[in-house]
Formats: sequence, structure tokens, C-alpha cells
Amino acid sequence: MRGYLLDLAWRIKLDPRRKGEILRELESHLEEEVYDLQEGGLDRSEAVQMSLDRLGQPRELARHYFEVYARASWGEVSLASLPHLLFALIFAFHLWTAGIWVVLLLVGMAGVAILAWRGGQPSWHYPWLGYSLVLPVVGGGLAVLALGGGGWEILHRRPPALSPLAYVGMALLLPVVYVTVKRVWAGVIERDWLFAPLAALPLPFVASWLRFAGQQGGLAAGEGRLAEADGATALLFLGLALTTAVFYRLASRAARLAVLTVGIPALVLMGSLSYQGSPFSLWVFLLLVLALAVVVLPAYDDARHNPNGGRPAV
Amino acid sequence: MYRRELLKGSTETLLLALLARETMYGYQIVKEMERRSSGYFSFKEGTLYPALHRLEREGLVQGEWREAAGGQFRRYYTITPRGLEALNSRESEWRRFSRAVNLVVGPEPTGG
Repeated sequence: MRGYLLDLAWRIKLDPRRKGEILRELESHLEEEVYDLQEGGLDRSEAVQMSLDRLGQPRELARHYFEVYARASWGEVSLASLPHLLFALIFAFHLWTAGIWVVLLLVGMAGVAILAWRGGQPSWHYPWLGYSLVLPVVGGGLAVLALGGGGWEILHRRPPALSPLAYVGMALLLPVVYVTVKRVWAGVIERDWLFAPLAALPLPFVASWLRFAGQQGGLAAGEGRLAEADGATALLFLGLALTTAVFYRLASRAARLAVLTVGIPALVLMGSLSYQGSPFSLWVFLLLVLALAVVVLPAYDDARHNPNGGRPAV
Repeated sequence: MYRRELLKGSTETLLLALLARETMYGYQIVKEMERRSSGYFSFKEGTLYPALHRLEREGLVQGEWREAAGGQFRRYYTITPRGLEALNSRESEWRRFSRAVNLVVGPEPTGG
């Protein structure tokens, strides 16, 4: 019975409070039924087996519960899509040119994500969580590039571009960023690995835009050329909002996985057409690999915690 | 197989009908269903509990934890006023449906 309930606990991808209530109710049911069956003459192992057979396969049972609870209300869908819509507005109205708006928005999103996380991890908060990781992930990525660049300069006996203090600061910051992102990521996967690629949705597009900005000569120098792509960028974020909305309205895990597996690469290709003018480049290929890895890796991370071994819970 | 298909469409109505009589918990519902149907309905609990949760999510029943004798906790379900309305509507529909089936399946009424 313990093994069955552990398997079921791993497969029920709902919020912790709801999952706890479901397991408590089923455990109570099993105990009472097993007791009655034993009173009727069966030995304990036969009684337990009969009760578990009547309950059905954990996979099926978890699927039924998921179908009852997973489909988000329109209010939850709106909340989940809101971060993408806000960024669509940022680009539609060229507000990114005043960088403070972007920073304030990301900090505000992080605040919402932290409050929601502590308030019971409502399912709508994962897109907010994804945006709150943009600053640390992008900052960490830039720090890695800067440290690499500085090391390269030192190897070639040239003065590094930044002060030693800056490099020390970045080197100290990197492990903090790594540990924080890793813990948040693990927490998301523990809740439901399907939320991990959903949360990571904006990252490939932010990375694409920053690379595009770099190719135009930087944010300040390339402002005019960057602004010409703002319409396309706003549309990309609208695409993210639509993908998110469809995800949350689906009650089937397989359908949710399909939306992410198709939606993310499609949007990456759209982005490449907007920024590079062609989908055929090494950068786009790397982004597609990254996008698919973001979908697939959480699944395998989740599968490692399957008490019976084997495949991830879909 | 046919019985299973019939039961699939009637599960929630049967649950509402039982809960309209008294507040019950899951295992009690299983036993009562078997008793009242003289063994015809034997619920798979894997279907029962998600159905109860669906009814609760739709506001047709309300669940609450209560401590039973012996210290164990059980989740009891009570039908709500909305649930009673839904039950009345489904019962009317069932009566019309079963009457129509009987008219089609039964012998042709003779004239005169």
C-alpha cells in the first residue's frame, strides 16, 4: 500500500495542498476497505491487493484527478498570460528604450512570483517565475561571457576590458546565481516538470533579442534599428501569451506537452525570421536545441524521482 | 461492457442522488451504492473519487474533513442547493430518456 501511495504521490501533479488531501482521502479509504475485507476472511496481503485493484492503476487515477483540477479558469489564464502581454506592450510602445521600465517590471514580476510561491504555488504563477529568473540568468550569462573575455585578454597579455573588482564581483555572483536558479528549477520540477519549460519560455527570446541588440551595436547605439523590430518582438510575446493560454486551458498532460513541443520551436523560428531574416543559422539551430532541451530535460529530471523507476509522468 | 458505458454517463447523477439523502464519505458511498442497487452497481473507487472531486469543483457538493470514532479522519460530502437543482434536472431528463427508450425498445402499442 505504501508503494502504491508513493507512486501515486509522484504522479499527481497538482498543488501540494490538493495533493495532500487526495492522498489522505485515499489512504483513509484503503485502510477501511482493507479492514473490512480482512473481517470478511481475506488475509492482509490479499485484502490490500484487492483494494488496490479496485482503485486502479496509479497512472490512470492521477490522470483522472489531473483532468478534474488542471484546467485553469479564464481568470487564472489571464494571470498566467499577463507577463507576456506586459512585455508585448513594452515593445509595442518602445518602452524598453527607457531601461528603467524593464528593470522595474522584472523586479515587480519577481515580487509577485515570490509572494505566489510562498502563498502555495498557484499554477498561474510559473510564467511570472520565469520572468523573475531573466535578470539572474541573463546577468549570469553576461558574467560568464565577461569573465571568459577577461581571461582571453589576460592570456593574450592585453589589458582586460573591466576592472579587477568587477571580475571578482562577477566571479562571486556566479555561484549565487547558479545555486538560486538551480533551487528554483528543482522546486518547479518537483511540483510538475511541465511547468519548467513553461516558466523558461521567455528565455530563448530574450537571449535572441539581446544578441540582435549586440549585432546592431548595442542597446544605445542600435536603438533606431532595434525599434524597427519592436512590432515583430511584440508579436512574439503575444505568441508566448497565446501558447501559455492554450497550455492552461488544456486538461491533458499529453496535450500540454504537445503545445510546448510545437509552440516553442515555432516561435523560435518566427524570432529568427524577425531578427536574422533567415531560419538557417547556427544560432537558430542552437536556440532550437536549447528550446527542446528545456522541454525534455525536466522530464528526465522528474523521472529520476519516480519511485518505481522509468519514464516521466505524462 | 454496455453496462459500463451506461454507468459512465450516470455516475454523477447516482452520486448526487445518494448524497441528497444523507451526507456520506467515499467508502460509505461505495457500500451504499452496492446495497441500494442490490449489487448491480459496483463502483471502481478509481472512478468514484475523481467524480466526487469534480462535483465539488462544480459546486454541486461540498466536502469537509471530520474525525470519526477511532481517531481517523474522513472526507464527508454534502449536496449543495445547486447540487439539488442539478439532480432534479438530471432526474427529469433521465425519466424522459428511460420512457423514450422503453417506448422504442418495448412492444408496439396496439390500437383500439
